[in-house]
Amino acid sequence: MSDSVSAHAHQFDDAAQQHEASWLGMWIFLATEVMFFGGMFLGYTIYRSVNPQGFASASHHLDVWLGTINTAVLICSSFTMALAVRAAQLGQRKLVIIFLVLTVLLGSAFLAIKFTEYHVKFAEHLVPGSAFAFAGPHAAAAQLFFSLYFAMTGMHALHMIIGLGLLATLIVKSARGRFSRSYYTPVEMVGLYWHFVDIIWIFLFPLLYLVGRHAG
Amino acid sequence: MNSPHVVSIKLYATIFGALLLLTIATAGAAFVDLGGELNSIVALSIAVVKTLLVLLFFMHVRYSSRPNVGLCRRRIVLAIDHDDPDHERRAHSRDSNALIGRKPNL
Repeated sequence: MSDSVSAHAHQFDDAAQQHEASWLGMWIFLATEVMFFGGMFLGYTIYRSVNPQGFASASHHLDVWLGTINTAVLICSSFTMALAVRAAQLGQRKLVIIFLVLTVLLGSAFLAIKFTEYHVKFAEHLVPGSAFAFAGPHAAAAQLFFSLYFAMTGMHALHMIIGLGLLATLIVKSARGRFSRSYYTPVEMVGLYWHFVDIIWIFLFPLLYLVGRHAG
Repeated sequence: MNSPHVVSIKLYATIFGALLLLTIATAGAAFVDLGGELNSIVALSIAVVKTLLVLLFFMHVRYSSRPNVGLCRRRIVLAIDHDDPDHERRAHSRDSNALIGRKPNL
């Protein structure tokens, strides 16, 4: 990405073409991300269809309240991210920084809640492995559920951590005046990434936290 | 890029509110016995609606100009066609103009 405020890199005809290339590259990357998470979603679907009761009883050990609050926190962070991109479009540097900082704070809150949940799972011996303990007839299926739970939420959390790093560099670059009304592509692209990570969670939340809740 | 579509704060706030309401709806619906697999279907349908809202408005898919998308698609088609020009020429020697605008047979 170009360091100067409005100039484009030498391999592009103009700034518009450079922007289009970034846009296309970002969407192709997000498509590969869909395939990456898609494998885990497929694994989840297959094992849940084989062990519907085991998955339901394992899911009951997750905290619906924390899951719902975390979903709301993440949606709030997507909102502030959208407002950061909007401020960048309008060249409002201070607002860009404020909204990016808010997004970092909300993203960190999400990770903090997630950390608390993980801690409880360790304490309750629900982490797959030799210490795994699950009362009832569905212990094997429950271990499978928690393997998927930690793989999927863990990969999602890793994406959040990477996103926070990207946001931090954007804040520094914004403060140094690297972006303008005519060049704010990195802000826009990190925004796409952040919203994508939000979408992954939108599916993880019902699939992991809300299985068979109505059955008690 | 030259004139980006700036979405009003009011619209962003509306989408944000809708996403929060749908989150509460998902959590609430999970505790109601809808019978059979209907609970899963409702939960995933709400997730799809939320995804569409994020894609269309937060990710600006709704405002991506058609020519932009069309241009990108055409470039990919050309890149694939150019991958093995000799093969294409052998296969479509009768009308070389047919190469342009032809969909890749992948």
